[in-house]
Amino acid sequence: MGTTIIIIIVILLILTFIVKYNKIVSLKNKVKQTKSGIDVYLNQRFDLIPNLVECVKGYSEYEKDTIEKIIEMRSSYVSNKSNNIKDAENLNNGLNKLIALVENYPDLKASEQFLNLQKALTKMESQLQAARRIYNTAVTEYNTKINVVPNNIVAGMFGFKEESLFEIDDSKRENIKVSVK
Amino acid sequence: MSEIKDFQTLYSEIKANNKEKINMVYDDAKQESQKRKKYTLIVCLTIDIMVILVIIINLFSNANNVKGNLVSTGFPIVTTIFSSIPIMLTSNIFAVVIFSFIFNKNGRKYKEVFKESIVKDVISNFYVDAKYNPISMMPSNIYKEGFNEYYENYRSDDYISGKIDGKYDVCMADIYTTKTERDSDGDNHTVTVFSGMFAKLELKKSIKCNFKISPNGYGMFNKNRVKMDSDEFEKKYDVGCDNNIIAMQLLTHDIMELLLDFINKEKIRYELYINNDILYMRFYTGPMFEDVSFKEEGFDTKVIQKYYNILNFINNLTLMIVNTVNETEI
Repeated sequence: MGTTIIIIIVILLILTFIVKYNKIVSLKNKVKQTKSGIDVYLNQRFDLIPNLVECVKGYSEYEKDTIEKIIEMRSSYVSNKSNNIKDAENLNNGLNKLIALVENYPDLKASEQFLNLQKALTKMESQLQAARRIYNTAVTEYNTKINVVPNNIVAGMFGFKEESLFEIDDSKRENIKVSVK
Repeated sequence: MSEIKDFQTLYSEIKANNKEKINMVYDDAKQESQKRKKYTLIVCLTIDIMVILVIIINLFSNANNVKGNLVSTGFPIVTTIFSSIPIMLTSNIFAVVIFSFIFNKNGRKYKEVFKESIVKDVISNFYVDAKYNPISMMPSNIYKEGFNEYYENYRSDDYISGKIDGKYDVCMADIYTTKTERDSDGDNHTVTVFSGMFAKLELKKSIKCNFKISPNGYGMFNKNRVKMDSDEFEKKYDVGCDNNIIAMQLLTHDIMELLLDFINKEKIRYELYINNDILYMRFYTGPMFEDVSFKEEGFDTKVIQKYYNILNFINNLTLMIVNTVNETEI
């Protein structure tokens, strides 16, 4: 009788262990999936860079340095097939700078080609933001799961580590100074 | 479209515009209500006293006929008293129902005037080309477009139509649906499926998905459930969408804050459903204007405030969703 009870308890423990492990694995995979979602939208956005560069080039030769830098960053990003979100963010910031330059050229700003590009970029930015939020939600759920008892025992045994949340760039945390001339 | 007035300003205007008319019918309705209560009380007391007298007379007659002590008449006393209680209860209920029916004319008139004057003014504050008909109903197929659930009986009134911001068509009405259910004893009961306000709004922007927000626990079995990045929001709502990116794009932090604000302040259960370019909402408020009370004054502030807050919420939410869709090119 005693042996039977012990066997039942052991089987229950093993089953619990398996269930918890599987749950952690599925959450980890969800994190990977949402991370790749961000990459997809970033890539879509970066695919617009050649079009944007062509648009700006036609209107000004003075932004040559900025344009060349962007082209270089994009080539590097594509060829390295980097999974680093930080590298993607740097390229994204470069792209935003290029868009901001357009403010200096009213003719360019009003051109149909640029307006269509801007619409597409806005749409993608919104999708990217949504993808980041989904990623953060998945990471929070995963991190919570591997830290609570008794999941932390299973996580510790199999080396599941916390994932980092998508955070705002340090430069953007600084207060923005607005000067009115 | 003129600016939407805040509640206090609107309420003061409504009161100023309708004071005499409302107060007149209110006073009549209140007097009628008091008369009804008086007569009901008199009739009920009379019946009860008569029943008690009959019991006492019967008991004394029994006591005189039976030669012996009162103990031998104990059992008949108890049964007589207990059997008279249902008689008294039934006659009292009967009296209440009859007098409610007889003394109701002014009460109905008060509700009609209240709806026609006050509700119209409140709606006009929010909608351009606002039209209101207390007895018109919303066709059931429109209701089914938004919330396709099983019911057997459908009733609707207080039909409203108009435009939000002069652009977005809106129609709403009070809806009441019921069905028959069989309990464990095999008896049939009529059960309310939905009672409250339903609204249909045309956003003029196709969102290309099915998007639903239900109170927490009511959408939990939805396989398209989307987990939001706000714990407070997750505690109050379940979100379902066949495209989680669009769900996140729609539910900006501002919109989530608006939804939370409403449910925390008003404590009214509601559901929201977007299908392409149409937004459907329903609020579990019960009939909106049937519970107008005679307790305070002719202008039942509570009812007007509740109605104002719901319309204000619908207005703000529609505009925020449309702006979000425009800005983010969903």
